[in-house]
Amino acid sequence: MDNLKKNKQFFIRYVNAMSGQTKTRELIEKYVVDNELIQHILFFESVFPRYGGEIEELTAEGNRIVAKLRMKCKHEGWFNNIPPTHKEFETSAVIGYEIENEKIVRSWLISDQLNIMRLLGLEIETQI
Amino acid sequence: MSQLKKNKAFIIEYYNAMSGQEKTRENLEKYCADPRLVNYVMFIDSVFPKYEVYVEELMAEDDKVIVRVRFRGMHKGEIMGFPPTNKWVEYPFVVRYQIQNNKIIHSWVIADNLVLAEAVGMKGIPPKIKIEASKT
Repeated sequence: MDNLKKNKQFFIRYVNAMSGQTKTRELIEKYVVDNELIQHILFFESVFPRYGGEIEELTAEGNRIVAKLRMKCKHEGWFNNIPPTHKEFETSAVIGYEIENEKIVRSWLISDQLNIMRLLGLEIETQI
Repeated sequence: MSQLKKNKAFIIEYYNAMSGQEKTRENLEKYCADPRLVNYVMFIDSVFPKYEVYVEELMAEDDKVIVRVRFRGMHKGEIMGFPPTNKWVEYPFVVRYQIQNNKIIHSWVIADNLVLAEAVGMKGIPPKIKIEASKT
């Protein structure tokens, strides 16, 4: 099996293992050695417990993968100074991963935080 | 040159042609057959005239090219209800292009609009919000 396919299969296993589950450090570290990503997942798990991710699109090249994910969340912790609303919502995120020996070694994430805040009830202040 | 390399080279040519230039429909349609993308780029260019784009990461598979981009433009038009501030704004976004015969036929964009909103005048997080807690 070529490396692109291996990395994609690893990534699908990782998403399936995490989605809808309590994301403990122990579970995350089976797949991730990028400490920034571990901290990020633990923070999101504290705000949106057992959040899920559904893969919408996957692109791979070399040891990199970019995934477009549909995130399913319930708001149970403080997020950008917004107290828990217990609202359920879905939003998109794009995450880039670098994979070495079936571990995520580096990553970046772009999601529309403003959209999440709007979904939680934010009415933005337009005064300059 | 492989098709993947051709598609990457095409996107780099497109960015070089657009970055820092006025993005007219005529110029855009040399590269884009996706009317939603043409309208989106023209709208952003009306708010941030001649905005610049810097490619931070590029990857390709099949007929798709994904670009992680840093945007830089001066805020000269209204966006999200915020009037022009004449401030330089930078924010990250990701675009995925689908390419056929040297034309973009489909695309999606995901940007962190919180960075944009704060840059053009949204005051802090959250200065004035109305939160209605779900009853569940």
